[in-house]
Amino acid sequence: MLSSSEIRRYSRQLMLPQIEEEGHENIAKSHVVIIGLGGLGSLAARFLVGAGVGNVTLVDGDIVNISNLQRQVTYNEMHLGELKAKALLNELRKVNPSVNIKGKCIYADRDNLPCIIQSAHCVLDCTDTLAVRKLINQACFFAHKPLFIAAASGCTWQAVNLLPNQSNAGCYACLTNTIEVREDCVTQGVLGPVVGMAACHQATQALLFLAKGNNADIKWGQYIHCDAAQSTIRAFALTRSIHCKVCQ
Amino acid sequence: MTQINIFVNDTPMSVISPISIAELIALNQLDDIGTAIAQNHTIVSRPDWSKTYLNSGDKVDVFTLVAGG
Ligand SMILES: [Zn+2]
Repeated sequence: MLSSSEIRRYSRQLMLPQIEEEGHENIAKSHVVIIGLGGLGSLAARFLVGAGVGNVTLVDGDIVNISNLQRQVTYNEMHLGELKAKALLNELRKVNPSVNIKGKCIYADRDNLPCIIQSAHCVLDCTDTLAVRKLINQACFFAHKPLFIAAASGCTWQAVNLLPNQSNAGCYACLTNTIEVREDCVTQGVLGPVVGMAACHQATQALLFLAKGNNADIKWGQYIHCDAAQSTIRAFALTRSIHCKVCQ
Repeated sequence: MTQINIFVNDTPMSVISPISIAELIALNQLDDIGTAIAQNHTIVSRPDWSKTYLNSGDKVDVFTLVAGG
């Protein structure tokens, strides 16, 4: 049973058929691990904490830099030089003190990932390099963790929701194992709101999943490509590749 | 050899069949690094490009993967 203060705080999402009281209680019992606290992770975390996700783990070894403030909206000049995990944790505690937030000031790698994601109900890949994204995909696949991936560069954002061993759906390595990705925020630049759109999509998918679990209408294995400049959005099926070294 | 009509990123295009996705990439002089291809809204993994042939009316989507965050 929700208390009257919880009903007031979460009233706007409790009205939704995709959430309702039961969904909210599921959200409140959940644990989400957010890896990467830049333009994607800092904003997605803000929405998840605002929505009352019970336990949130923030993972990033980076510090807040002046060039981050153009798009990483949860930080401000007071945070320059501070570890992102610590700065974000302090800001998010002001938003919703009832959420159990943990900050890990480390970079995810092959060795620490299994431990980081161990108790997660789902993982958000908010990192910015292909190498780390591949490691997160692999760790989530072998630990059977639902994974919500988003990425952005220039005026383009992309996203995919992955559930290990879901029928014919592939994994991130099915797509990227034989592809070299040249673009990232550093070499190509990115428009602030574009990475924000990706983060909003990622947070939306995670909340819908946490509320209804396997009964949520999540499009697993659907790769979304949005060109924000052209106002176009395309969706493609990411099927399992027989060449994949992770999911085959 | 027959001429078939396909759509590449929604733009109609006439090509000589048989033509594989790999040949389409070469024909259009597309940079294949970082490029992902979907045939009729299903992504085709890169090792399959040379053995995946296009049919009349096929919708081919070509896009560049991004990884920034
Ligand atoms: Zn795979």
